[in-house]
Amino acid sequence: MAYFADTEALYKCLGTLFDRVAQDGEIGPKLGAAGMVIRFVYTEPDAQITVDTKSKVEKEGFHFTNTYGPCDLVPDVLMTMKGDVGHTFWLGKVNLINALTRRQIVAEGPIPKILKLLPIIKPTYKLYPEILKELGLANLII
Amino acid sequence: MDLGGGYAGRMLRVQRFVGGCGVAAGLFADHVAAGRFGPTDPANPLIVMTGPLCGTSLPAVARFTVSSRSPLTGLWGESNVGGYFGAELKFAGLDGIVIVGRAAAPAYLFVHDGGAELEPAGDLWGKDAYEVCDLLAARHRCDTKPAQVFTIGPAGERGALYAAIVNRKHHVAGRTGMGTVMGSKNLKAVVVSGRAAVPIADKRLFEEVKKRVLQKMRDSIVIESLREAGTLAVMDPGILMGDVPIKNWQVGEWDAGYEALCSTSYGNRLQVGRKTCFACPVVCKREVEVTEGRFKVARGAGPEYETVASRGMLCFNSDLEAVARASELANRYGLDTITLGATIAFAMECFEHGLITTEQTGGLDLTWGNAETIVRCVELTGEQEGFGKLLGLGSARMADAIGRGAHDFLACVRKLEAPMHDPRAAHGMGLAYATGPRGACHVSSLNMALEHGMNSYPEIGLDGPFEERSSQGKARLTKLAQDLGQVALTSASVCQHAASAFGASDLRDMLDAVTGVGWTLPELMECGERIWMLKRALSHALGSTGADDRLTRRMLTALSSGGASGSVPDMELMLGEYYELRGLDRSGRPTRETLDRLGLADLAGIMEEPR
Repeated sequence: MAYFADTEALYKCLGTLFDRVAQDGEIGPKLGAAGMVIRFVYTEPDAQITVDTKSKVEKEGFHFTNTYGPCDLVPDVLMTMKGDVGHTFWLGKVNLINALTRRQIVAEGPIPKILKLLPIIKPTYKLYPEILKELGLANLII
Repeated sequence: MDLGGGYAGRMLRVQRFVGGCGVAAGLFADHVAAGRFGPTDPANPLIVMTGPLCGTSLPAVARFTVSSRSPLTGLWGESNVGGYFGAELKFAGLDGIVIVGRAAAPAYLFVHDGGAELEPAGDLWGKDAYEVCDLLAARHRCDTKPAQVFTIGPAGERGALYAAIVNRKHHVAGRTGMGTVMGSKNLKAVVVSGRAAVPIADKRLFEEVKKRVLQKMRDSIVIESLREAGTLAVMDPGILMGDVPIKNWQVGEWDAGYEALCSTSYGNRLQVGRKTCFACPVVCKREVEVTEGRFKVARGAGPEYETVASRGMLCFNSDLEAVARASELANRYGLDTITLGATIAFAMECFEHGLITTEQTGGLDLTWGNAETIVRCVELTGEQEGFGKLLGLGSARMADAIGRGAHDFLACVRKLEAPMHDPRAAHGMGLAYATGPRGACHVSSLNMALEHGMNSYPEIGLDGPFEERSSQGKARLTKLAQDLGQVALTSASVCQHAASAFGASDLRDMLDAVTGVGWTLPELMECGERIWMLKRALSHALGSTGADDRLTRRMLTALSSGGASGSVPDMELMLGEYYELRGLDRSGRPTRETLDRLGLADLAGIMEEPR
């Protein structure tokens, strides 16, 4: 059974994480400096999150902008994966190189630039389980 | 024998040992059988050997090997290096050079089309490797092309046990102290220059396989990452996996270090250009320059991953400019970057525990992360002065000298310091280290590509994916990864990075196109098995036993944080299975049946009486 029952459940978990990271005093500015538009396209359930670290940030307290659902922004990097892969990735349980070479994550665009972000996003692997607990979804922690 | 291409045509062992280190091990066995010699005795042969692909226009095949009895380990030693020297040696009409004896006075060897001369090197003795590369390349030109220079620095002249040999400043044969052997022969450099082309047996297949592997390289995210970030590309995912050892293998996470030493930081703060090896489109070498601050670095060869990890993360040093300066110095002095960084980290831990004091260090403060001290340690080791004499022994012999529990801080196998890839994050790598013929080695097997998910080799039954932090099934994986590695990486001398884009069949086709020998994949795998077993027998003949197939206590102590936290390789399980698969007896010694099966029966004699 999939970790996310539907699109709404995915946005609830990953959306909370992405917004928390965008406001994080440490990770936010570093990711905000990446100067890229990264789109995560999820299947099972279908969902789409676009992380824009290129445009001017409108929302106060945010270091970059997240858009949930389809949007017109042209992504520099497109990463397509199942919802389960997305969930386990943010728990730090996915070997990204392995997932990319085996096409569990299909990436288009300058992948090395994504790999360079790995040290920056590392703290999120601790943050995501905390968020799941806050949301009352500790059962999703593996 | 009649060979279609790839070889200069004067060797007889290629069908059994393919080339490079395989052929070198075969030649070395003859010397071992002929009599006893120590690492710095004139009788110890220094064997420089290319593989059949080297010098062709195939991508990522510029590497070659240097082999001898190692001064650092006392056992079979080998070092694998890229650059331009190997191709030029082929252009000079030679597959390899075997150097024995000792010159009466410092000399260098000049090899050119159809000839070789020993030239006096009194004016070069004492000069650093960069100076010698420039001087000799300018002195010997072939038409408009500079000669290729392979030289030691002062460390090799002065007997540091892990001296390296340097080509064109960027390319260093570091491991196991081959530069020390060269220095003991009063040989400062080998210079090669030639005009010949490497013959190709099947030009149609050659073009087809070249097109195929170039396309695979273009499609590979690993190659793309190497092109973008150099060898530091492995740092970023390595940090997450727990692959990068920190503070002498004691710590699982160090965020400040990651931030300071990651590939982005390197690109922003150091990098000014990119370089490559002969005919290689990957372009993974980096040029760096530091014009301000305490640690200035002249524009030139930048530190690679192993250097940034060993002089940075392992020494708990987040000063990237100091790492770059220490790297430049190590190259100039001609020192193995891995053993050097590991030995300094080991010394820092000894200092922390009071096993080394400022009295012994000559006043140097070896506190963790002291950047000035790290740079000074490189200078002292290169000069072989003061505390540098102790550092020049390498960590294992240094622990022998210090005693009092210092061995607990070691991370090495057979006295060779482990590279910067933590076996707690990939258990098969631990087995590959423990059973590596030269000691802890990450470049003679394909474990890293397999376990970290960079590649798979379904043609030989290694399809994956493999659970990194598990010991189950790793004996089989490691045996096959070593057998293919012995052929592909150390004998055909394909670059490990490129091998992450190639399949086993690609390797077979490359060899077939160039040589025309027509090996099948099972035959190549048997060659790999034979080469591994030959090196194993050589190490037994030189005093190693199965008892040395061990990781140190430090490497088997679980970390409490990081990507590899709580994970420890089950060596007993893996070794038991591995010995059986390899045809070793319970003490780890090749059985008579195994030697017979691989056509190595003549080695049984030399193992009887350790040299």
